[in-house]
Amino acid sequence: MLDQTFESILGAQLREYAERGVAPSDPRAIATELIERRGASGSGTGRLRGVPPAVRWLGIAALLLLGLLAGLVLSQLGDDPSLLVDATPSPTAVAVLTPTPEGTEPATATGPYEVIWIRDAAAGPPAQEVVATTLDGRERVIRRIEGEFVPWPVLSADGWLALSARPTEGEDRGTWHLLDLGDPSRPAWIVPANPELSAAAWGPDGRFATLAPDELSVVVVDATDGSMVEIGPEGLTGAGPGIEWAADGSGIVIEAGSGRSVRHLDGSTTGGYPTPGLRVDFCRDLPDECDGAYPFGHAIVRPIDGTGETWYDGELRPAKLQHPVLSDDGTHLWLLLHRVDGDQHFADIARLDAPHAAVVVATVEVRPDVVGMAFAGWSADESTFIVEILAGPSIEPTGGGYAIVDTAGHAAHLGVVYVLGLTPAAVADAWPGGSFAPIQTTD
Amino acid sequence: MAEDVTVAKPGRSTTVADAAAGDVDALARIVAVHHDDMARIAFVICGDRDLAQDAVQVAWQRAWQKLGGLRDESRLRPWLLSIAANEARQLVRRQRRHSIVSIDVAEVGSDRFDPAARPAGHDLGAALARLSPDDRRLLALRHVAGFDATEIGRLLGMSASGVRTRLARLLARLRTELIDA
Repeated sequence: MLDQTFESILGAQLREYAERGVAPSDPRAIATELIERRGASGSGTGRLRGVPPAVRWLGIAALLLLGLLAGLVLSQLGDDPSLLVDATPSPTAVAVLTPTPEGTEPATATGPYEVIWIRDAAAGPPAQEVVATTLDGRERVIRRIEGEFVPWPVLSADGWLALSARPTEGEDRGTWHLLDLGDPSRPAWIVPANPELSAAAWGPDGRFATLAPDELSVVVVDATDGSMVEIGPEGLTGAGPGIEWAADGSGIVIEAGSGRSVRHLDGSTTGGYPTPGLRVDFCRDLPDECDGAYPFGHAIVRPIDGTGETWYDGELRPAKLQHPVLSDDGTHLWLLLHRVDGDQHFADIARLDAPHAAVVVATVEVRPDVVGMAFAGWSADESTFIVEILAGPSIEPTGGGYAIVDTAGHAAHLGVVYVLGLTPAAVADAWPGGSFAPIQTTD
Repeated sequence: MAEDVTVAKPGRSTTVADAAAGDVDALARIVAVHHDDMARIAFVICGDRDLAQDAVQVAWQRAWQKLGGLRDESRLRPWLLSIAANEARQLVRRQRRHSIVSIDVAEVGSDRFDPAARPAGHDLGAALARLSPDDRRLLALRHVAGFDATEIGRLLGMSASGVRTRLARLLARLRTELIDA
């Protein structure tokens, strides 16, 4: 556990260090220059500071011309499928990836879902273990993977795992390793990757998308046959940028103009992709959060026009609201509440199908040093929930593990590990690996 | 009975709308409020003040071009800071492809990370220089911008849990380098 002293010292020192980036500036001059240049590309003009104005404008013109040419090339790539990269990566067998243990048959789990997660192997050379845990307190190792990986894996709905490997010394690119958890004998697909960027996502139909090492394209790999295409990265959502698949798997969501579109794998674009229609505002009862903009403990559902309607204003007090989240289809609201009963602490999960209609559907006891909780995911049928436990005493709670609970009253606890998600037990139990044993990793 | 709910209105709606329409005074007010914070974020990521200033300059151009499309004006600050952070990260990455960026490793304040907590060895700037630009961006958004994991996750397209996990590993690494080394 990181101690509060170190974290607060680091924060203070970082803020002091950051002060050295501040230089005298003239806001009005900056604003004037921005407005006068309206419409010009911002890229690269920062390096023109101190250059005579005439030369600066020549430079900007040259940049605009280069941008135009680049746009033409990219549009050609997008329009002509023959120009798409069709570099099918050979299904390289990776020496560092070894499925273990072999020859054991899994038992059958109880409950509809199992939580799939990753932990560092306790012994032997550096390795990670992919583990399935049932909500009746058993676990089994599905795969042991030797090697050094970035703790940033992504699991698809049908059991493909993407693991990111850092570049070796002197290299400037990393790789994603795509493994089929259902078939340990199948070699991994290896996809060149930006070594530092976490942007990667599985589509609903088993295709994997990530940014190319040079960030000039989005690489999309079909895990079923290893075929690969590249499409333009312009307009990716999020500042990261992030990769967001269209719900039907037809392409990647981009921001274009004032709306959202889908860039398809043949490079074409379809507009009118729906913007996120609602969001939830609330403030936990923590210092310095929200600056009092919203009442503590209330959940306000807002459409994008900024209006809002309070769906929850404390009906389940004294339980404290920790995290309200809209359902994936935006029709109802889930609440995570922290309830204290004597010296016992509980996470209550409530559902609201209409304003002020909260009904608690699941409860799990959590560790007593909990200082906050958050939803970390739920199953597709909304029967099983992953609750992240934030435990003190650090300023930004970093540890406490996870509680997994379902509406039938099953529950399991995990320590501070990397949780990949919930998988139907019928799917996870078909993956080869070890047999179930009593759970090892607890708080 | 529940208390009445007063929904906070976005505080800078008029200023943002006016700025987007080309009002120099309005845009100058926004710049005055946010420019230094953007520079601080960029500096932590770049480790070089000139590079950070370049990143902020590009960030303002990007922000200005998209200001009119900012749907939720109450999110102006995180939006601007995330643009600055991203531009700084991109600039460092581009620079690094062509040359080795000299991260400013001059020591902070008291000349040492913390006289009481760290006995010897490294300073904060040097430790930051050994991190990736992405990791520095995460630290800057958390500790300089003051965003929590949920907000950072929203800005970077990551889960809050993922942000916490990564921050925890980063802090553990920095602790090792700055104190335990």
